[in-house]
Formats: sequence, C-alpha cells, structure tokens
Amino acid sequence: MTQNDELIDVDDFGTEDSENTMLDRYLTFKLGTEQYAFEIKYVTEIIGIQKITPVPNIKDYIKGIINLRGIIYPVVCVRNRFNLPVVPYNDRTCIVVVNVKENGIGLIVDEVSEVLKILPEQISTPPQTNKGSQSRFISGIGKLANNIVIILDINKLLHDDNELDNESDV
Amino acid sequence: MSESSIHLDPETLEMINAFVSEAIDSLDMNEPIVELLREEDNSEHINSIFRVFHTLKGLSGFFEMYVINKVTHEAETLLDVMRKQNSKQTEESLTVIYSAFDFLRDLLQKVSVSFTDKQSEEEAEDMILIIKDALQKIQNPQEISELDFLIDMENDEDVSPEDFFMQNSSDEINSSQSKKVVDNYSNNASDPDLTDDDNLESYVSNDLMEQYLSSANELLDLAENNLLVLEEDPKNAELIGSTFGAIHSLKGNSGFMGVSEVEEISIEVESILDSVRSKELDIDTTIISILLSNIETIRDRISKLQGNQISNSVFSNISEPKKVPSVEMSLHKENASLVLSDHECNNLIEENEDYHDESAEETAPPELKKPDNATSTAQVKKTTPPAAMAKKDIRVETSKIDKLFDLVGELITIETMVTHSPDLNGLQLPNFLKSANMLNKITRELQEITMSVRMMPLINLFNKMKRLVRDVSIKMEKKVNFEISGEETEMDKNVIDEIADPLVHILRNAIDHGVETPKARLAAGKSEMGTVSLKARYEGNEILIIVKDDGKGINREAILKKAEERGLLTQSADKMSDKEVFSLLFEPGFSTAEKLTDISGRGVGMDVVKKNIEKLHGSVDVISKQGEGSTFTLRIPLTLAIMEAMLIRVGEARYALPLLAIDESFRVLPNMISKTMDGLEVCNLRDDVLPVVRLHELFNITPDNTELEKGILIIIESREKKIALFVDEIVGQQQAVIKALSDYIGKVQGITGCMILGDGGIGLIIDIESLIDLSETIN
Repeated sequence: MTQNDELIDVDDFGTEDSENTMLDRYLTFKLGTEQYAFEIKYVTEIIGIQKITPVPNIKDYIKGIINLRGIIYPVVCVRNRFNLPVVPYNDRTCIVVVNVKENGIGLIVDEVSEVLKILPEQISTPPQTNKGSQSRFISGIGKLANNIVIILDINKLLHDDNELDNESDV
Repeated sequence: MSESSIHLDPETLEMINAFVSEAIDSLDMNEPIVELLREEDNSEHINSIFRVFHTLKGLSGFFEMYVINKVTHEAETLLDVMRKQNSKQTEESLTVIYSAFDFLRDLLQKVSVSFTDKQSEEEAEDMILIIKDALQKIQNPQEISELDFLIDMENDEDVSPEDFFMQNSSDEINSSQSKKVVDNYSNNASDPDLTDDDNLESYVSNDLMEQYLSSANELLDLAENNLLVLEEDPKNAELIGSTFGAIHSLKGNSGFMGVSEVEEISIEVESILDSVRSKELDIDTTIISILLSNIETIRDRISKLQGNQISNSVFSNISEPKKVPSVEMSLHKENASLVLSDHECNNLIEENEDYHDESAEETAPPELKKPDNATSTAQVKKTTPPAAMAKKDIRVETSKIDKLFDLVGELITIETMVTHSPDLNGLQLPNFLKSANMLNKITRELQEITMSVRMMPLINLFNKMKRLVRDVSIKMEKKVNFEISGEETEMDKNVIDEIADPLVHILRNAIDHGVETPKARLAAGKSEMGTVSLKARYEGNEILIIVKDDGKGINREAILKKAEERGLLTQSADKMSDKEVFSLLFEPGFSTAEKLTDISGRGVGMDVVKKNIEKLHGSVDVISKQGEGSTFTLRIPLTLAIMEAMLIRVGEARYALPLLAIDESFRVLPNMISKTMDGLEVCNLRDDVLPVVRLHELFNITPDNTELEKGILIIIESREKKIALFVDEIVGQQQAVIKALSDYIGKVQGITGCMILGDGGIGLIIDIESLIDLSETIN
C-alpha cells in the first residue's frame, strides 16, 4: 500500500504519519439517528438499494442475494441484526459491500455518512454487556468533537450467532 | 554428464517434475497396449512398450536416477527378447510388465516428492529379479532367432557342451540358452553407447523429440531473459547460475537426442558461462551479445528441427544456417531489440553476421525492415506452419480454463440482458436485431469452444478400467471378457475425475458379485468366460455410461432379506417393484456380499456411488434379471457448470428446475385432487397417487393464487420418489449457468445454487432431492 496523499481526506487530526492510508479510517453510516462505523479496509463498494432476491429458509437477517455485475452477494440487513424496527427502503438506503474472510457480503444501512479518521485514543472501550445482547457487536465508542460514533466489530456482526441472539431474532 | 550440485538447481527440479509427469503419462497411455501383447501379431505393440522403457531409461539416466534406469533397462531387455521372439505373450509375462509399470509409476511418484529414486533401491532389486525370472521363462527353443544363433556361435565353447549334453531335454536347453541370450543382451545394453548408437534413430519417438524441442525453446527463453537482465545487473550470481543451468540442461538433452549441432554450440555457451560463474570473465555487453547471438543460432537450429520433425528428417539438414526467421523468432528478436540500446545492438551485429541480416535496423522488428510489407508477411506466413504444427498442444492450468469458463458464462448472461433489455420493447430496430443475432451466434460458438476445451475423451478412464477388470478378475479367479465401446465420448474433465471412483465400484461389483466362477457358469449352462461391458454414449444433454454383466444377476429376495435386517424397508416387500428393490442397493450401509472380500462388499460403496453421481446432477439405474446379469446405467449431464433448466415462477420469485428431473407438467382438473383427512393433498395421475407440494408453502413466498386449478402441477422425480409441485407458471426452458449461493449463506435446503436471468434478476436453482426431503419433513 503506497502513500497517496491525494486520496486522503486531510483532517484535523494532525500529520499523516501512517504507512497505511486505511489505518484509523472508518466508514460511518446511520441507522435511525445513531451514527455507526466500521473500518474502511473492509469496504469494497457502496451501491444504492436494489432488488434483493429472497432465499428461503435462511437466517432472518440475511435478506437474500443480489446480482452485482454477474457476482452474487448475500445481503445482511443491519437493522434486522440489531433488532431495530424495520423501515421501508428509500433512495438513501445503501448497500455497503464488504469483504470479510474472503466472503463478499452486502450490508443494508439507512444512509452512508462519510469516511472519518478516528485515532485509537479517541476510542473508548464498549460498555460491559451480557453476551447475548446486541451490544456485543460494538468494538468501541468513538468520541469526536461534536458527536459519538458506535464502532462495530464487523466479524461479530456477520458471524457471531449467539444462541440468545437467535432466540430474539426469530 | 552432470554434476552433483545440479540437484539443487530449481531449473533441474522443474525438469525432473516435467520428466516425472511425462513419464507417468507415457506409462498410463501405453498401459492398455500391454493387453494387446497376448495377440498374435504384436510386434508393433511390443515396440511401443519397448519404447516406453527405452525412453524412461534414457531420461532417468540423464537425471541420474539409476534405480529407474536399472529397472527400465531390465524391462527393456525383456521386451527386446519378446520382440525377437515375435510370438504372443502369456498371462504371466503380461503380469510382469504390468507390475513393472506399477513399480515405475510408484517410484516416479516418489521421485516427484524427493527428487531422487534412491530410496527404492531394494524394491527395485526385487522387481529386477521378477523381470529376469520372466525373461528366462519366455524363451522358446523352437524359435531361436538369427541373433540368438549368432550369440550361440560366439559363445560356442560354453554352449555346445551343454547343448550336446542336454539334447533330449529341450526345456533345459531352452533355459540355458535363454540365459546366454539374456546375459548377452545385458552386456550389450549395459554399454549405453552401443545400444544408443545402434538404436537411437529408430527409438527417438516423435513425442520425445517434441518434448525435447519444446523444452529447448523454454530453456532458451529462460537463458535469453536472464541474459537481458544480467546486462543490467551483471553481479547477479543466481541469474548466472540459472542461465548456466538452462544451457547445461539443453546441452544434456541435445546430447541425449543426438542433436550434435545444438550440443556443440551449447558446450561453447556453457563454457563461457562457466568462466563467468567462476568470475574469470566479467559480464559486459560484448559477452552478453556473444551469448545472445549464440542462443539465436541455437534457436535457429531448433526451429529448423521443429519444421523438419514433421517430415521426419530430423537429423539431416540442420547444419545449414537458416535464412528466414520464424514468427516466434521474430518476436523474440523484437523483445530483445527493445531492451538493447543501439550501441549494444551494433555490438551484437558485429558479433554475428547472421543476426545482422535479420535485425538490420537497430530496434526495428524484422518484419518491418523491408519497405514492402506484403512480401515480408508472405515470408512470415510461409514459415508459420511448421512451427505451429510442432507445437500442437500446450499445457494450461485448469484454473485458467475455469476462469475462462466463468467469463463465458457471464458473457452469455449479459448478452441476454442486452438483447432482451426492457428498454428495447416496442422499438423497431432491424439493424440492432441483425447485430444481436450475430452476437448471439458468436457467443454460442464461443461457449461451445470453451466447453470443448474442458472436454476429454473417456478413453483414459476406460483404459484404467481395463486394468482394473484384469486385476480384479485374476484376484477373484473369474474369467472375464471385458468389452469397451464409446471410449471416444467426450466429457468435462472435472466430471471424468468425479465418475472414476463410482465406476470402479460398479465394475468391481460386477465382477465380484455379478460374474460367477467358471464352474458355476458352466453349471448354469453359460460359457466359462463371463462378459462385462462398459459403454458410453451421448443421449441428449447427458452421457450414459453403462456397465453390463452377464452374471447371476441381483437376487431380489436377498436384497429384501438384508434390507429387512437392516431396517431399510419402508413398505411391504410384495408391493415393491424390482426397481424399488434394486434401489435399496444404494442405501447407506447396504451390502449383499455374503462374505467380505478385500475387493468389494465393505458395506460402503453403492451408496457412495449414488452420492457421487448425484453430486454431478446425474443418476444411477439398475436393471437386473436373475441368472442373466445386471445393467448399471449412469446418466450424467455433459458438464457441471451449465444445466438445461425449466424456469418456473411463484409470485415474484423465479426458480429453475433441472430438466432431467421433470416427468411432466399439466393444469389440474378438479377431479384429480383428493384430500386426506389430515389435510394432505394428493394428485391422482393415471395409476399413481402423488403428494401435492406447494412451493410457496415450502419457501414461504406469496403466490399469485393458491387454488390448484389456476396454477400448474409439475411432476418431479428423484430417488424413485415423485411429487407434484404446485407453481404459478412455467416461464420457459433455458440453459442455466450455475452459480453458487454465497458461502456466507451456507447450505440451503431445497436449493443448490442460483442463476442470473435474462433481465438481470436471479433465479434460484432447485435441488429436487432435498426439496422432496424438505416437503416430507414439513408434511
């Protein structure tokens, strides 16, 4: 990964000293009024919502599959994953395509906000929770100048099927 | 010929790998010929087998694998004696040749890992003893050939007393003479110069020559590229070593192949490189130029050989310098001249007048140097055919072919999307349609070609089966006449790999359980020799592979008894058709063998056969008649990735059903449907009563309607089970390019994958078997 300053949003957080332009960079998105984020390195592209083909008898939060230029991606509804009320898709609804553990997966979010640099010292540890709750997906809380961002652990988001969670999902 | 350090050289390792894989190929390819040795007129076949050993011997010698060398040497001697004898061979000697093949194959496999054959020295000794033993046995006193006679004359002192002594016992004479002959051959052959010089020309097969030529080209490419890099980086010892290795190998190969022209130049180049390697000589542009021009000269000779190989005059005419460069050469020169600066080029030109002619205008590729392009094109054309013919096949990684396959799949999908785009509706577009038709034609053709790349004839697989049948029948002490037909039938390479195991199982069973012992056969009024046939043919989009035996057939009662013991019976035995009974054979854990043999009857097998075949979207059928034999029929779609599908719709969702599984479809008449008291709907179709399965219920989707009369019932079948599937509508029939659902989703019951539809949407492909299972669990 070469350093390419043109691609970097130069921001208020001091000099660019990292070898890796993706380090400490997060894609933030909204579910309702809350801001969420995960590391940008997972993101391959962001597309508008499109027709999702449902697949029968699979986990609730997997809404189905989409065809993106001939490649099939499963699509996960993040709202559904968090047990948030389902809202109808609109023209701001996005599918964030991520690549985690060699799997390309689409994540449905209400709205994509921006790419932010959040330094480790700005991130505090997540609140202690019992394992089953949705907050197990949180890897930290990012405290910015005027707002707070919930940073997600994308691996857990996609793969952690806790028993408790399943019960509450169904 | 080579030095010990060469073993560490990656170039050599690569060559050894190539040697091993080619040697194994050659063993595999020629193994079926061994069977032909038992025929009367077998001199040609003996020669073929002889050449296999001879080639292996030569190459193993070159690679300093003396264990292989020794064994092949003995085997070669055996074949040579057979050849001189020119009579049909016995079962015993065939077994020896087969075991030599096996031994060599095993050993070669070990070599591919360890790069040496030393670990098998002891086994080799045993093998050699077996071969020598066979040698003694095959000699026949009535047919002492001229050469034998001569040998006897030469060894007169030794032989005649014995001869005289044992006049009345021809057997003993025979063995003693054979010993002499053997010894003589051994001596003769152990002196490589003698054998090779005498026989080289006749034994250097075209194949071998072709291998040599292509490897020579590769070596030259490597050397050339290395030199060009070395010019920039003269101190790179690794590159010098690798260049030296390449030329060294080339020298060795050329020596072995008797191409002295190339050998001589290689020796020169090698010695220059050697001085460079030992730092006596510093690399500068002059040196590089000399080396490059020498490599060009070698390349010239090689191209010439390549051309000549076709006309079979390999060893003549190679000394004349070549006037017209081949296309390949021009390309190389083009590359070279792009890298070399003007000055360097001039240097080069001074070094070699030949080269000067061809690369005259510094960096201009040879084709362009003449103002008249037409003539030069013609010239190039004239020289193309030999080069193209010499390289008639290339090895390609299967992953590349798979990728190509995928892309063609995409292309077909996209093509449908473009030509059937909703935007075009209602437009008059005559020109567009014309172009679209042409596009369609080309993509179809492209698809066919791409498919054909992966298609291979079944002959290799069938040949392996020949061997298997032979071994099994000998082991089981049964006499089997094995008939093969349709081995030219082509199948997707991946599919061939997958059906090998099932086929082995079925054939083993046919011989082990099917064909009776010779005694039993005679008692049953059959000929002593059983017949097992293996046939392949196309039928529509499928290939049928049929294994038929004329043995005792399958005992219905025995199966039923066993099935009952194992609790496999789900209905009363009297009501079951033969077909249903035989399908019990494929149930897991079923084995009818009364005693377990090491060949078949381990209680696994037939169910694995079925599973493997179904993985390929194929099916297995059995027909059997007690006392007359059984027939196993495998039906396999031509390729894995593309399936003929029936597209159906339920509400907004579209699904593809494999066409193979569909029996029929129809609109329902009210009197066809009855309802049981627990609400199960059944459809009376002629004599069958089939459960009605509503796809919308299984998959939890909203259909257009729920009244059976308004939709369509499709009868689908898998594993002897039939259901009537209720859907809204049949959309049509089309080729489905099968795509996997994501790993993330995992296995979905009732679905095997998905396909992209003409409008860009996705259709899910239904897995009939698991759909039926799903319907049973829900009901």
